[in-house]
Amino acid sequence: MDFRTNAPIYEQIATSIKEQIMSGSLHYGDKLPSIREYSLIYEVSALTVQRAVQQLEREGIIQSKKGIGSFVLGDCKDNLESRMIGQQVDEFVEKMKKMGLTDKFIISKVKESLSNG
Amino acid sequence: MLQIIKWEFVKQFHRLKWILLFFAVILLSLTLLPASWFETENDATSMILMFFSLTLIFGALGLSLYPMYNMISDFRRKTYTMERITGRSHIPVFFAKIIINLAIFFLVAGLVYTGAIMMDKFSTENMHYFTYTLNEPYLAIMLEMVLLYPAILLFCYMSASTLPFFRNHRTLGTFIGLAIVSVFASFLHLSGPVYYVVGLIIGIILIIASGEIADQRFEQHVYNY
Amino acid sequence: MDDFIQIEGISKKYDNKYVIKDVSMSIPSGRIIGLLGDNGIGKTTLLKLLGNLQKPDKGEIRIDNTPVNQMKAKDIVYLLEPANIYDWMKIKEAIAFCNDFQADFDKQRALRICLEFGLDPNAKITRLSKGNKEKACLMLAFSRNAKLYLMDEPLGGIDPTLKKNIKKFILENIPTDATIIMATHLLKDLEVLFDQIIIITGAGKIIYVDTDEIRETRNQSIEEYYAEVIENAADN
Repeated sequence: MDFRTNAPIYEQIATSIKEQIMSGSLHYGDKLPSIREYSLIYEVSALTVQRAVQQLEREGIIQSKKGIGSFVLGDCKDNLESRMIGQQVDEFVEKMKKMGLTDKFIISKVKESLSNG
Repeated sequence: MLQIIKWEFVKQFHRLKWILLFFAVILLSLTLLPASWFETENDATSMILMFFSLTLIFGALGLSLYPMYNMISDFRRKTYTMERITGRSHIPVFFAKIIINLAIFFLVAGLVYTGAIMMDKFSTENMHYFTYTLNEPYLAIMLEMVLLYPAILLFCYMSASTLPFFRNHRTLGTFIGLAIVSVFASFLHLSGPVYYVVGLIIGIILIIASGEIADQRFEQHVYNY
Repeated sequence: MDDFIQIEGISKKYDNKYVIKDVSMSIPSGRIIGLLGDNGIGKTTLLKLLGNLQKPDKGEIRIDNTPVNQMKAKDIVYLLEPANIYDWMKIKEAIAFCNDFQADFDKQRALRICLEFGLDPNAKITRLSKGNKEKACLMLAFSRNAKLYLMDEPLGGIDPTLKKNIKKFILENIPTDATIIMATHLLKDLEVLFDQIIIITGAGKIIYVDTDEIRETRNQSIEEYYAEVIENAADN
């Protein structure tokens, strides 16, 4: 995986794992690869992977059981979706508003894009 | 320890193989050259025999000094890093080198003895091209060449390498130590059981002391790595 | 542990000039650390001090609570340069030498890495290309299981294919809790691998920081950050 070098690597790995959950590559209850396995997959240090895993734990997306491994938590897919999409939408709306566009105009543009989609 | 000795032998073999081959060829040539070719003494025959003689002399001399050089030569090369990272103490390595020195002693003895026999067939009433006379008994020569002088040189080099003043002038420090030894050596022709035992003990003590210094405080000169 | 490597007040002079002056730092275990700085500024010196190949003029270095000069090099791997290997040695002889004297050396792994790198064990090391010589040295270093790996610009002559795979190679062949300190100029290729970096700026000063922290707080890549540090040091 190619990383952006001006943003924390561990965050990018956490995001990558979240995307896998959202896309369905990882399901509820799935056991994540071990830290060492992830380190080889992403070609980063074990410490970086550990930080990513800890972040995912803090966000309630996975749960680590000592000695056994890390598992994807149940309702997190929907949770994730709304959280990640919510963030993107917030950013988009803020940008549009900064350009001085009205709410009505923004909504109509979104509808247009969806119907063309 | 066996492995240390094994690798010392391998190292020295590779270092000396061409020299040994050269002298093997020289001795072979001497064996094959018929004495009849040299019966008439003229410029050509003299030169050839002088060449052989000098080669044997310098060869024996050089190889006699090699044991001393052997003790310190590793420290001056980049390969010292490879030796150092094995984490071995220097003491067994130094003793392994002494064993090598013993082997070289026998090589020199063989070279001189064989050379003398070979050259003897060319000798006439007037000229003996290569003979040897010993000023001291075999044992004294062996002790000095194999253990004592190498140990003294090693100790001088170690001291010079770790004392602040001499650290950047190791050659000078070593040379001073060596000069002191040479002065003693040229005046004293010792022999006898007391000398052998005392010499052995002194040699061993100097080796162990050098090893301790090397383990604790030696570092290569910055120009060597 | 937080103080796997303890560097306390070390100074080192060459020709009456301080290369490292009064440096103290604590390096935790299990970190991959990049060692950066201009050529000749002291990276090699620091690595050699850590590897017990040079002695500090002042101060002490302890690894795992043992002074470095008492460590018998058991837990430390110092990456060799091709010039450090005897010129008569074939690859298999270098392997035999290391195997005989380094208790944690894994001969099977060494031969496997030779295969992976396309190195012929019967080849004389001096006859190899520059890149293959360095691969041989890497092979010897990574056939061990140690706690600390010290590497001085390991990828100078290495071909681009290996450079691409070098991160994976390193990660595959070191114990997970090992610490690596690697001097390098190849930030573009390697910065993602480093947990921390040590920058020697000159006049003996040293900067020691977390890479992701730099990225988080400054939105800079390590390459950019390093360039900035060097520029500031040059101005002062």
